[in-house]
Amino acid sequence: MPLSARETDRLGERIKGGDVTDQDRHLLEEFRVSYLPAYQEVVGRIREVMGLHPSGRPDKRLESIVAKLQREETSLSQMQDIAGCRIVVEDWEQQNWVVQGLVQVFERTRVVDRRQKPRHGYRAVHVIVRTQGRPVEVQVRTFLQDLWANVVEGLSSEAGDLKHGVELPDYAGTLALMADAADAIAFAERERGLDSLTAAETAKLTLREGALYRTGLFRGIVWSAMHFHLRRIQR
Amino acid sequence: MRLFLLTYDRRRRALVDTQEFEPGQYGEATRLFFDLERDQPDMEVVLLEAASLDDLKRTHRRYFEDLTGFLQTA
Repeated sequence: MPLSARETDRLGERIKGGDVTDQDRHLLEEFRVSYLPAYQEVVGRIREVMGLHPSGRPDKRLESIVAKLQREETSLSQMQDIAGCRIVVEDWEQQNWVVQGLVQVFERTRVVDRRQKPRHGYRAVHVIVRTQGRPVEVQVRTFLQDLWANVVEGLSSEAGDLKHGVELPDYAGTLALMADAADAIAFAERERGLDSLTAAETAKLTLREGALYRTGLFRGIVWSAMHFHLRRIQR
Repeated sequence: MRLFLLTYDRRRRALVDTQEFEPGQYGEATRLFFDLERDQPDMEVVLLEAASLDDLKRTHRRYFEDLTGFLQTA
């Protein structure tokens, strides 16, 4: 018997403190598994109808669910990203094309364009598809947006929860630096309409002109972009 | 589409285990995912699905490559 929205939110309130009983853990596992049919439908149609190959994440991790409940004004039943998938494309043009396609293929969608409203520098377009009574979050990122997000997540174990705007004292200023790097990438991708390789080069120049390239972080993210992209081309 | 169960050690910034499942084995993969999540709270355990491991490495590269090495020179 699936939990009602009210029961789900009560469960969310109980686990929010971090101490999760065996019974609540079991209820939460059942709740997460209940997203599987919707997830499979969304990923399947993206593959079959749109001919794309998303990477999927059928279940959000328990730790991430608890952290989100603690961090944000949201309830468990309202969480949009319990199940989701990710599509990485080359540039803004392809990103727009994929988002348009998702809106056409699925009946009920909501588009969250984080290129217009970046969060701590994070840019992407999220399309929330609702089907079978459940939301499934489809993240559409360009290669450079995705690389930037992966760098930030990788840094988070050391420098703080950068993804959500928290930096540890030893790493003060990291958030601002990463946001500037993201701005430079976005400028190159959006204003110049460049592919990711050229955009990375342009971002490097933009940062250098701003005299910011001397910081290791900037050199690092641009170096990473060039390195990974070149290696991909060489395959 | 194949399922991949990754166990990532955040402190060491290293992937310590990868288990691969045949397409459609959601039940088995999910059970093991929940077990590992419970038994290894210090690890980041994540269940992902992709056409191939190479595709996964492209979209979730932070689990496979150290993207933060440049911090040493910062």
